[in-house]
Amino acid sequence: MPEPSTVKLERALLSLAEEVAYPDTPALVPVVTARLAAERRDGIRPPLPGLALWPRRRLVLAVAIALLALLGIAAAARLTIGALEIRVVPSLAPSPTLTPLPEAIGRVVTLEQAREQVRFPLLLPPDLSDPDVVRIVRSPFGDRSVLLAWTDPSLPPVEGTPWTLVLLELAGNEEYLFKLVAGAEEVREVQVGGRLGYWLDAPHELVLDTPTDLQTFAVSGNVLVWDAGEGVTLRMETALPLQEAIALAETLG
Amino acid sequence: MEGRPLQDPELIELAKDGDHRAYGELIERYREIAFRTAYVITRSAADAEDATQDAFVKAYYALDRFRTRELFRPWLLRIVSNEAKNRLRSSRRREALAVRAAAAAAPGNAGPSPVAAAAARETREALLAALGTLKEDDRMVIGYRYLLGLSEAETAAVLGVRPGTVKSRLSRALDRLRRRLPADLAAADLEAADA
Repeated sequence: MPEPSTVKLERALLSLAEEVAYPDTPALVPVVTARLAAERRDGIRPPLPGLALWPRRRLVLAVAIALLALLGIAAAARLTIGALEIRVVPSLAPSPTLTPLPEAIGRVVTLEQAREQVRFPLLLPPDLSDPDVVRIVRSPFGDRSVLLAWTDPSLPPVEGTPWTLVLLELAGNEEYLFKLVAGAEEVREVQVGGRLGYWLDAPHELVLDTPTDLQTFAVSGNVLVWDAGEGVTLRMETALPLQEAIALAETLG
Repeated sequence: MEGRPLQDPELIELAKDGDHRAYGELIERYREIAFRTAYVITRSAADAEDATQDAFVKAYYALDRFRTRELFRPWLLRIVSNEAKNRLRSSRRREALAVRAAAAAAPGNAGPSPVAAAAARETREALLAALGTLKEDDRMVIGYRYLLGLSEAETAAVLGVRPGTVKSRLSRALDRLRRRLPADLAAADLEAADA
C-alpha cells in the first residue's frame, strides 16, 4: 500500500484543525489587568514599562527587601535583564563545593561552529586572541547561547580559577539564567554603552535552566551583565574593577 | 481616522505609556489564539488558562523590549508557548498530544453517508493518535503550522528559528508522522478525512 502523499497529509491536518474541540477561551482581560494593578500596588514590579524607571526600580527593590527583613520573611525579590534574572535570597550562603562555570556547562565546540549555531553575531574582545574554551548552551526554550573563556595573561585571573575572562552570550528574552545573591546591596545598576546593566562583586551562585535539569555553579569573580540589544544578554566574569570592566565590555564587537 | 480599530503598533505604544485599556484591547484580540496555543501544549484547560494569563502579564513587562518591526502575534505566542512548556515540565505531564476531534457536519449540508462519516472519524482519530506519538519538537511544529494555522514565518518566530529551518523541520516531522500512521491507512482514507 503506497504511503500517503505529503500534500494529502497536510490537507488532512488542516481539516483536523477545523474540528479540534478546544475548551472555551476564558475571559482574560479582567484577571490580567487586575493582576497587573495588584503587582504595581505591592511594588513587586515596576509601575509601567517604557518609562525612566531604572533608578526607581532598585529603590523599590531595596524598600521591599527592608520591609521583608522587618517582617522576618526570607523571601526573594528580583531583577531581570533579558534572559537573566538576579534574585535576592536573604538566606543564601553560596556553597564552596560548586563547580566553576566554564568547566561543566553545555558542550564544547569550535569558535566557527559556535558562530554557525547561534542566530546572533558573537561579540569578542578585539585585543585578545581566540578564546581557549567555547561551549554551546541550550535553553529550555530552544535558544542557543555561547560561553567563551580565556586564559590570556594580559588580564588578571579570576580568583581560584585559570580564567582571566569568561563571557556568556545569551539569546532570548525568557529567563533561564539566574543569579542568586544574598542582598540587594550586592547588585549595582550601571550603564554599558548606554544600555542597562548590573554589577555584582560578591561571591554568588549561578543557576542555569537547561532542557534537562537545573545546574548550579559557584561564581567568585566580579560579574557585569548587560542588555546588548537585539534580544542578546551578555554576562562577563572578570577580576577587573567596575570601570575597567565596563570599558572592556564597550569594546566588544 | 476616528472610530477605526487601532493597529497593534498603536496599541503597543499606548500600552507602553500606561494605557491599560490599550493593553486590554491587545489581550482581547489575541486571547483565543494564545489560549489555544497553550492548550495544544499543556492538554489541560486549567493549565492553559494559567499559562496564558502568566504570558500576558510577562508580555506586558516585556513590551519595552518588543521591537516594533516584529509582528506582535508570534512574539506573544512565543511567550505563551514558553509558559505552557514550563507548566508542562513542572507538572510532569508526559501525555501524548491527543486532541479529540469533534465530529461535525454543517447543518443544512448534504453530508456524507453514515458509513463514510464513521470512516472519516476513524481516520481522524488515527491521525490524532499518530500525532500523539511524535516527540515534542515534531508535535509543536506540526501543531503551530497546521492545527493553530500559523504561517511559516510566524511558526519560525514562535520557535525562535529561521524560516528555512521550519521548512526542513516540518518536512521531517511530516515524514515521521506518515510512518506512524497505520499500515492500512491508504491515501484514499486521508482524502476521506479531508471530506
